[in-house]
Amino acid sequence: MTTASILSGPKRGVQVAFADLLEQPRHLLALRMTLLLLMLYGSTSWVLDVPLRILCGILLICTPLLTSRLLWIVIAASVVWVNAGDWYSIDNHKYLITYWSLVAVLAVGSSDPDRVCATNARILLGLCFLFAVIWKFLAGQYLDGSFLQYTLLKDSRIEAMAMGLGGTTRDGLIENRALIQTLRAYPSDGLSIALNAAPGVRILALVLSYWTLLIEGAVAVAFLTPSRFRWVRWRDMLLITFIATTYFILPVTGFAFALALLGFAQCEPERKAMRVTYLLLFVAIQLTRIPWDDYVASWIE
Amino acid sequence: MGRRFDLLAVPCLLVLVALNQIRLAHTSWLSPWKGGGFGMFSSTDDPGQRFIGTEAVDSSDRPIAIKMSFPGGILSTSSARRLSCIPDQGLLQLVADQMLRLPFVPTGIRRESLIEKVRSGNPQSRLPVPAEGGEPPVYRVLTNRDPRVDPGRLTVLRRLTLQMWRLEFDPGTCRVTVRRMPISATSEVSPR
Repeated sequence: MTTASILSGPKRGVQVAFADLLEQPRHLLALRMTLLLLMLYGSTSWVLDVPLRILCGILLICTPLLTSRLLWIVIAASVVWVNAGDWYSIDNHKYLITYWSLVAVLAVGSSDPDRVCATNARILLGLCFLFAVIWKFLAGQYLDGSFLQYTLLKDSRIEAMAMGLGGTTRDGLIENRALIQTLRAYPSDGLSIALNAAPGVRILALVLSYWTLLIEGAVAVAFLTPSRFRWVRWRDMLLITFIATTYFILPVTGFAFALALLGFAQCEPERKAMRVTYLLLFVAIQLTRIPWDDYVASWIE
Repeated sequence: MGRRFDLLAVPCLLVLVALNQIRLAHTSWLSPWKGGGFGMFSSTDDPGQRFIGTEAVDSSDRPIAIKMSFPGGILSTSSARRLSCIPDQGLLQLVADQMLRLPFVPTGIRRESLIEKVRSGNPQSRLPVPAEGGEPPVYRVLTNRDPRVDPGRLTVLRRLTLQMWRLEFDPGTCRVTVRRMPISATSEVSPR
């Protein structure tokens, strides 16, 4: 991409930028995105944050080192070491990041790094969604909608949805959180309170619960089914739909970024439209950090 | 390394960890949200719905209210987080034993000290005066960041019980209920 091509017009500049990105070997771009993932969401403590930022920064700007197996081993070992120490309390995307950093080590040491990245990404995505669905059945709170009903009534991150679609009031939701805090302050067995709720919340929770089971189940099946079946070509569309419909409501950006990265890594090079969509998704995911829910809730109020 | 290993080793590791997580969630009170089984957003039993309740009596056998905190020395931040993710009887007992050896102060002690400092430099100011005979104070462990405390305001405990609780939700009635988890620890100073 030359300066002249960018200056020839913004539209042409964007086209050239995308062409440049998509011409890169798929696994190299996936490795670069992995470095970004590690720098942005790889750590929650300075112990890991400092070495990750230094090492990932070096690999990002120094192309010959991008496939250095030694450096990837150091990165993966740091991630495994720190996350293993906190294994029972870290967030879920940290597990996926840990596994993916191990895949990066295997890929850069392989004679076919592209296949290693793509196959692992596809299976890891499928398994991640499979276990997510298994847990939703084991816990038993999706078939009756109770998990999302409770979440809608107490979680400030989805206040706008509980108000706009569920029909509850902001005051009621604020009081729900205060009531729960009071229970925590004076616990005794069987002590209970009734939350403020509108009938619409139960219906909304049921709709969202069954949608979640459907889309997560479909993603799991699509990614774990061998590629020779024609219908699995829908897998990218399913994953993108899941990310777009989930993380713009519940902004867990680290997980969204990790899923989009694995999706990109396994997306076949000839599927240019899908690959461009994944790249756009990386940008869009950052927009979820804007507190939309606050603005919408204030507007509804 | 073999090609098959490169393609399957990490997914196999994920499966083993996830199956172990399901086992621990059913045998050791591991929260479905944690431990690598991808059970996030599947259950209301997330670590945020679990908490430690306290029952304490001071050296004069008066019941006092304790605010649970983990100042340096009792537990690392990581172990404190772990307690609500996968509560452990031994760890809870360790915390209770350590807390019993520490002095406690009213939670408002730092604020009172700051108000006193401002008042001493501004005698005409109308700053709030701590109310006498109001609600009984809530106590917490004295930390090395607290101001110098009048020894008369320090309290030591004779008995402390730490109890794990969790909140449960009933979708039919929309009620949230506090439930006792079968994990608790009591520590007591033997009477002289």
